[in-house]
Amino acid sequence: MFHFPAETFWLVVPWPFIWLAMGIIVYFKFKRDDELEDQAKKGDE
Amino acid sequence: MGSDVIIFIVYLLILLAIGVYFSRKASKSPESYLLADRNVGPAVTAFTMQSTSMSGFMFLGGPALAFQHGWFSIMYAIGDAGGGIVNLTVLGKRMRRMSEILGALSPIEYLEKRYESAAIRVVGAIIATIFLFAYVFAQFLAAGKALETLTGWKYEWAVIIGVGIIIFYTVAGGYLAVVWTDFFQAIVMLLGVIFLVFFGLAHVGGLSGLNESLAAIDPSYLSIWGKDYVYLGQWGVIIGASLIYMIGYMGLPHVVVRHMSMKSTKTVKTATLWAAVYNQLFTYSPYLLGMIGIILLPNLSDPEMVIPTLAYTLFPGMLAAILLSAIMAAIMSTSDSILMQAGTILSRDIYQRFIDKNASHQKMVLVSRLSVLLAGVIGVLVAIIQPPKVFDLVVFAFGTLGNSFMVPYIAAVYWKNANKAGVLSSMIAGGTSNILWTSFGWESVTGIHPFLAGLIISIIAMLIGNRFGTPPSERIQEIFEEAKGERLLPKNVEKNISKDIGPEAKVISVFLKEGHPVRG
Repeated sequence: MFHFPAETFWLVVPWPFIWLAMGIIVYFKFKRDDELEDQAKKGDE
Repeated sequence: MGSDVIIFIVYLLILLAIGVYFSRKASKSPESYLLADRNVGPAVTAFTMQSTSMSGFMFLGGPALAFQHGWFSIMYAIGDAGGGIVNLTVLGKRMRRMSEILGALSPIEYLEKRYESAAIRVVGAIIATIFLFAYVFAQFLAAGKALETLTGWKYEWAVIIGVGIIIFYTVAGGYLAVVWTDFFQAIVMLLGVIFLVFFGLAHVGGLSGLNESLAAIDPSYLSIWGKDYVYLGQWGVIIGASLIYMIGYMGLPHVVVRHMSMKSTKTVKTATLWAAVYNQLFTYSPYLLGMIGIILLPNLSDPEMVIPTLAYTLFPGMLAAILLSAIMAAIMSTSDSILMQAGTILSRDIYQRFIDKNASHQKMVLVSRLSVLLAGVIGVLVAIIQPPKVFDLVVFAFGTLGNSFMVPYIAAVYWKNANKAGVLSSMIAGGTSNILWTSFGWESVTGIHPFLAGLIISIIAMLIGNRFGTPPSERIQEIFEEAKGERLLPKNVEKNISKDIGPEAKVISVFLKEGHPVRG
C-alpha cells in the first residue's frame, strides 16, 4: 500500500493509530480514577 | 520590507503583548512567576508541553535528516508522536501531587526534596545549567540562522531581534507568559506545517506518488535502514532513535515542570487526549516535507533549509510568512521554556538555596527576572560570538539531559526505596555515558544509539548505587504513598479496614502455615 516496502509499511503506518488509541484509553482510565477519587473524598466528608 | 516580514513582525508583537499582559499577575509571588500558581489547564498544558518539546529541530534538523535518509527519519517522528502521551501518563498525576506536597517550585528542587539530598540539587543544577544553556544556545543559533535566511537581516541583528523578543516577554510575564505564548505558537506551528504538507503532497502525487518518485531516485530511501542501508540490521540505532523522543522528554527539566504547574491531577486526562491528537497531526509532517524536498528540490545545497525553501517555492507571499512564523514559533517556544528554567535554577536552586534563604517574595520575583535576563544575555552573546553546527549541539544537550534526569524523575514516583546514592550515580553515569558515546562516535562501533546506551547505563547505575544508600525517611515514604493517589476508599474506612480484617488474616496465615484450623 502507498508503494511502501512491506517492512516499512508495518513499522511505520500503524503508529499514529496506536498512539491515538492509547491516548483515548488513558483518557478513560484517568476519568475513572478521578471519579473514584471524588467518591472517596466525598466519603471523607 | 515584504509583506511576509510585516506579518512576522505583527506575530512578534502579539508575543510581546502576551508577556506584558501577564507581567502584573506574574509578579504576585515566586509561585506565580515560576509556576503560574499551579493553575494551568489541560489544553495549555498539552500544547506548551508539545511546543516546548519540539524545538527548531522539527523544522530544520528533522527535515534535513529526512532529506538525507528518507523514511529512516520517521523513526524519530514515531517516538515523538507518543512522547507527550507517555510523559503525561507516566509522570503527570504523581509528579503533580508530589511536587505540591513537597512544596517544590523547580524540578531540581523537587529532586532534592524527594531524595533528601543537597548534593542532588548541586549536581542536578550543574548538569541542568550547562546543558540547558547548550540547548538554548543552539536554539538561539537556529533563530538567528532562520531569520537571517528568511528576512535577509544580518545574522547578529537577527539573533538580537528574535531572541530579544523572547527574553522580553519571558522576563516580564514569567512562566504564565511562557505557557500562553507556547499555546499560541503550537497552533501556529500546526497550521503552518499542515498547509505545507497538504500542498507539498499534492505536488508529488500524494503519499503513493512520493514513494514512487523516491524509489525511482534511490530505493533505499524507502527502507527504515537509512540511505544506502547504512543502518542495516542495527536495531540499537532504530530503537534508540524512537526512544529518544518517546521517553526522553521525561528527563528534560523544562518539560517535566509542566506536570508541576497543572491546575490539578484531573488536568492530566484531557491534556493526554490533546497531546495525542496534536502529535499525530504534527510530528510526522516535517519529516514528510524533508522527503518531498528530495523530489522537488534536488539541487538544495543546505538540507536544513528544506522547509523554508519549500515554503517560498510553493507559497510565495502570505502563506510563506505564516511558515516563517511557524518555524520561529518552534524555536521560540522551546527557547522561552529553557530560558525560564535556566532562570528558575539560578534564582531558586542557587540564589535562594545557597545565598539568601530568607529572601522576600518581592525580592525573589526580582531575582528570578534578573536570572532569566542574565541567562538570555549570555545565550545571545555566545550565539553571536561562535556559531558551530546547530543541531549536533541540540542532540547532544537533549540526550545528556534525558539520560541524567529521566531515571531519577521516574524513580521518584515509582520506586519507594529509591535513594540519593542511586540517583546521584544514575545522574552522573547516564549523563557521562551520553557525552562519551556522542563525542567518540561509539554509535557506529557498537550499533547502539547514544540515548539508548545512556538509558541502560543510568538504570544499571541507579540499581547498583541504590544498594549503598540509606532508605528514604518515613515522611518521604508517606508522601510517596500519598502521591500514588490510589486511595479509592474514604479515610475512615481505610483506617478501620486493617483493624477489622486483621484477626481473620492472622487465622488464615496460621492455617496455611500449620495446616490446621485455629480457634478465633
